[in-house]
Amino acid sequence: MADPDPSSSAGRPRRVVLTGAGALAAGLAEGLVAGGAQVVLVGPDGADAGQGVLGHIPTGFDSSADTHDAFARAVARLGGVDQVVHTWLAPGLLAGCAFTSVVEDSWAASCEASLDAAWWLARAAAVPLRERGAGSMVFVVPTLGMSGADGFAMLAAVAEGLRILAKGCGRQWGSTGVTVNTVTAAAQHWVAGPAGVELARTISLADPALGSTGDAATDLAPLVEMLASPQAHFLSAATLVADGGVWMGL
Amino acid sequence: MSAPAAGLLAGRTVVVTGAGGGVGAGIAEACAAHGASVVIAARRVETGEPVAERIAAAGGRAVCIRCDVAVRDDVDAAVDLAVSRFGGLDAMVHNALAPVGSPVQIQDVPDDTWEAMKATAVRASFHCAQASFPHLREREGTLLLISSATGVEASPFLPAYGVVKAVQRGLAKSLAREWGPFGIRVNCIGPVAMTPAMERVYTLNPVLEERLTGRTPLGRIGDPATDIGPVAVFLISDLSRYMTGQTLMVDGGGFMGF
Repeated sequence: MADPDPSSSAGRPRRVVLTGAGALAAGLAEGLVAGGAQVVLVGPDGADAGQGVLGHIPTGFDSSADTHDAFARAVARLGGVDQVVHTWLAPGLLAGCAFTSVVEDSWAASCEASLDAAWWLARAAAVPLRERGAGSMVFVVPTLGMSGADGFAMLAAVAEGLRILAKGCGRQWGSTGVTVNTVTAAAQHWVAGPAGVELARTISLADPALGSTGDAATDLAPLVEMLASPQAHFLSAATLVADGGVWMGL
Repeated sequence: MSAPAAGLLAGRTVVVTGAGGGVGAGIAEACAAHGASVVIAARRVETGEPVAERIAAAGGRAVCIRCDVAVRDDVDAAVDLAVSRFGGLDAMVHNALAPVGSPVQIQDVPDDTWEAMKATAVRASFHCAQASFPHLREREGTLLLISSATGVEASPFLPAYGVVKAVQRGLAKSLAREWGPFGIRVNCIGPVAMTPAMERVYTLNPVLEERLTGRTPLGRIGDPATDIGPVAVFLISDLSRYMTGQTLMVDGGGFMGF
């Protein structure tokens, strides 16, 4: 069997391009670095990139060219890429509001811009990952894409779109040895404070079976790391629900 | 509760987008056969008018309007026509979709294809939902989005199509939660039917026909009017009054992923 993760046998750190912003990206970066990875953060704000990241490539994912350029710069900074982790969502998705109050410009700037960003990133990642003949891509999205969410229709729609984008890439890239998976996490990782707690209550009667909805660095990052490991070489186009045991709809 | 075998939608008004052919036409004809007045919203009236004429010839009520679902004013006009001509709106069925394009790797999908998929599935779902909401609330109606099993299991051939069909499912579930208190139900259908669009896909991807039929327990590809349309009638009718946020795969059993 070919080594699904040549970085491990090469004895060098796993090289990770991580997109995103805020506490989730920072926590994932921290956890991935703690696991021995080299991480470059790609996103609009590097101020909270997390400790230990190798660098930050600023981009707002405003166009295909911008996204491709930012990704290429991140790969160059790392000297290659073993894993791409996409968490970025347009900020407008994260403010809850009634669907009927969403105006068309906001729909485009939030929902469609988030779809565009993921689409462009996947296309940018396709070439180096496929040429490498190994590696992984992971989409981290809120579980509420599968459950739907009152007041967060745009966020749920995007989350479900990205989850199926991962499956499509998984189907297309599998023959080259590249795996593509989705990790879904509790809404509180994106929607902070009481709004996130209230949102969680609308999608499940149950509290988290494991007692909390998790920490990005210590609960989610190890899963992302696992998906790049040889142990996960036969896992692709899968959805790993990592919300502490709230959503059990699969 | 009893219901007549026919006339499940008597007195109701339905707008169907993309009703100039294929699944949309099948749904429109099935709704009309069950007593609904139907607005045939078609991007090209030369395809929509014959559907309206067929419905009228069969004793039903239908009117055609030109409608590009990517344009909010066009969708508003279709809804307005339903209200002005037939007195209200009980169901909005968004079926229209741009051509899905050729089988291709994601990095080779033409930008035009991606933009057209977004415009007719993502933006248009937004338009159809927003334009119909006040009227659906008034009559405790139904929003029905025509999605696909590809929106659940993805496609090795059509990555953009899978994404936008999934977006519709995520949106439908959320609107089902948000609009349930108003009595509005929101569901999806994932059809597989022999349509002009499907024939084009087969031409571009001959392998698909064999595989699709091979995995279908009922052994055939569905008919838009007699296989898909009745399920839309069911989801619009009171028979499904306690169903919302669901996707019914109407595909002869080809997808059993739930």
